Amino acid sequence: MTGENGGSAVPSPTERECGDENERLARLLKRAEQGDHDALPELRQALDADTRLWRDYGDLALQAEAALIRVAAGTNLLLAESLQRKLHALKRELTSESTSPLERLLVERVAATWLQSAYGDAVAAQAVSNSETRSKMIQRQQDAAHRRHLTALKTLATVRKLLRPVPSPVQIARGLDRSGQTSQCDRVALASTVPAAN
Amino acid sequence: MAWHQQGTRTYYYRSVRIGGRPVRRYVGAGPAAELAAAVDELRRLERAIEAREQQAEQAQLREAEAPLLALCEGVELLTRAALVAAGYRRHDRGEWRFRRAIAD
Repeated sequence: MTGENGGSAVPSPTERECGDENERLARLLKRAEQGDHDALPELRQALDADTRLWRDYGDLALQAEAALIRVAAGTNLLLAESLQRKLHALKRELTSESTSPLERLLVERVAATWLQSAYGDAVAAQAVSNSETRSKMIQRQQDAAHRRHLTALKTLATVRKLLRPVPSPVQIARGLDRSGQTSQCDRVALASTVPAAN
Repeated sequence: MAWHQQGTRTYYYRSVRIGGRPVRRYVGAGPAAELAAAVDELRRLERAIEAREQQAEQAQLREAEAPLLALCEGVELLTRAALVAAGYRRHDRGEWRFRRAIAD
């Protein structure tokens, strides 16, 4: 840990691997956004074929979750276990069998940002008798966590709306068949058959 | 905060800011001044401890936040890549719009 000595935190191996992949993707994305049509197939291939990419980000999500739980729960193991279960339930609620790897990552991010935001709220609620400087610092952290959580939710909603495949009539009929079990995610997918505005 | 000697006696002064300017205020001499100086020293120590605790807390939070920030940055990039690969373009840093010509 270098933070105590004034340096920045050393990235973990997972963070470094994700960083390398990020650079490659960012280069492809930049080319595609600048109108280079040759970059699109490469970009699609990078997203479809490279399962390591999704695995690395999945590991990073777990790391993020564990680090936040450590800060929020401290030495209270019961609280740590409860938070883990709550996050698990939240992720289960937001995913279904048909959830794509990207959506799963976005759900992981929503869960992690929710935890950070909830922790920020709890710290702010307990910080009534603190000094002005500390109160301001806590307020800033709380605001940043809220913004991050809202961005995560918005991105998940956008991806669900724009990237979910349009269901066939058979799938719709099946969905109606098991309407008692239809999840919120399925309903969102059915409602977003026209990917226009977001 | 400081002690000032004039002749054989020492006097304790306290520095305060009035209207943004530092002003030296006379507190006293003898045992009362020593008590005031001790109180000031204690307050200074308390502030130093609080600042150090705050720094440690900030460092701990930054460390815990680092994987989350990396995740957010990476997932945002992946999302953009997936949307561009699917034929969407972001309009004026706002909504994503479908461009059939690009998707095909």
